[in-house]
Amino acid sequence: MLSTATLQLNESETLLWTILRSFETLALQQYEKNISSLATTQKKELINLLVLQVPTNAALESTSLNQPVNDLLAVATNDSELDSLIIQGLLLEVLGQTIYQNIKENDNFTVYTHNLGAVGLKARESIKENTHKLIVEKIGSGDQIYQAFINISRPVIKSLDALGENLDQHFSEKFNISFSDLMGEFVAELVSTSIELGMERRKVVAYLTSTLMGI
Amino acid sequence: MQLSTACAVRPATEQESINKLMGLAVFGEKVAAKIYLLMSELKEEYAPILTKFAQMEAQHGAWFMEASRKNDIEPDKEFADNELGYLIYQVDNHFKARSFESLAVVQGFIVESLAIATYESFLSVAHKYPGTHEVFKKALEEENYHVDWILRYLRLRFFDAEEDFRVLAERVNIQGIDCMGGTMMNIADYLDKVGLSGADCAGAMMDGYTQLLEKVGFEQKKATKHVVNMFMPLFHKYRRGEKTK
Repeated sequence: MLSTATLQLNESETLLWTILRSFETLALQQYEKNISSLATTQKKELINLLVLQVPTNAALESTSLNQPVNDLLAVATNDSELDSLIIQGLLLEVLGQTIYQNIKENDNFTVYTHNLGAVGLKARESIKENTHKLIVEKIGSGDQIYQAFINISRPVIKSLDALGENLDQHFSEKFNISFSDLMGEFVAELVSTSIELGMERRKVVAYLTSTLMGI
Repeated sequence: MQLSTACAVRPATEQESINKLMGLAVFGEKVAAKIYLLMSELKEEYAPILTKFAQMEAQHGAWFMEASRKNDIEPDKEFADNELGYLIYQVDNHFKARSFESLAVVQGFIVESLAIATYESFLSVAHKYPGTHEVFKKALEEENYHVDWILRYLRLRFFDAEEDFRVLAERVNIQGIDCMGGTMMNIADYLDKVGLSGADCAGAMMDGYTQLLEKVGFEQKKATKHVVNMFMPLFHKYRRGEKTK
């Protein structure tokens, strides 16, 4: 049913899924271009579903989120396997997982958004293990991964942080979650993933701190 | 402790920065001594050791003052008072409420986290200020010892009552981080001017603080989330160039 029916998303949810569709579509394009093994069936199914539910950017274009979302999409677009692994595979996939997990646990969303979020989590799960394996294979030791991570990810994290206030303006009251909450969960997940990849925790936290401080 | 002597001509921005940082170190140690003394009044059974801790903190302040004098550094009391005033207000309220545990969290987690993060980093530039390396190194060792004691106390006090600790930590920490985390943001630029990285110090404070929460029973992701949540508004203020207090 979920794959063909048009869901009754409310206005805020339509905006949210329009944004998520843009990022998931970019991720799939980047994987198809640079790391084909990450362009999984589950990822394609998610995007087909989102295109069906929110086919245009109309909900986004008239809002203050349009520019910062486009800025983030622009810095997340690249032509190399390494950049795609770090930006899409590591950073934005962890962010997506954080958002989908939050949707799952948040009663303020409708059942339709809960269903879409579950598909998002499934798509994330379909590439998680392989992404980590590829990062280690292609980059090497924890220290080398850390160097690649800090060299590549800074503009993306800065652009993400620039979205913060606008996200709060549109979603905070409606869904009872603030950007600070979301970033807390995102950073916690990212630090945990970084440790799994062999990076030194203190260095990762210091790097994220400096980036979020705008230094 | 015997200190070697040196005089150096340094740029005005560095002089102003080191005056402020040393002011915070000297007078922050006095506040730490006060907190341990207040704690000693609330739990008689721990009074001997807490009074000793207070004496050690006061001694750190005296060492830093002496090292400053020998390096032509004038610890900036006005700056320190301004930064520490909000902390003292909170400490007085916790004492009025006779909450030993709240004082333990403020001192053991927040005040000591800031001190440890900055002292650890300062050691890398201490050679520029002769005589400071040995006193900061010694103070750092002693601060770590104090934190170990507080952690042990909290682990025993909240054994099998982690939820109670979580509620206490969140209540006390939100105020406390607003204060000492805010101070860390306010001194970040001064740290840069004496050759340190303000961001690295802030990162070290966040990470050190997260690890302390884990040692008392927070699960790693929850601890990180808790700390990042508290720091995010401070980061935003820092980026906008606003004072955090």
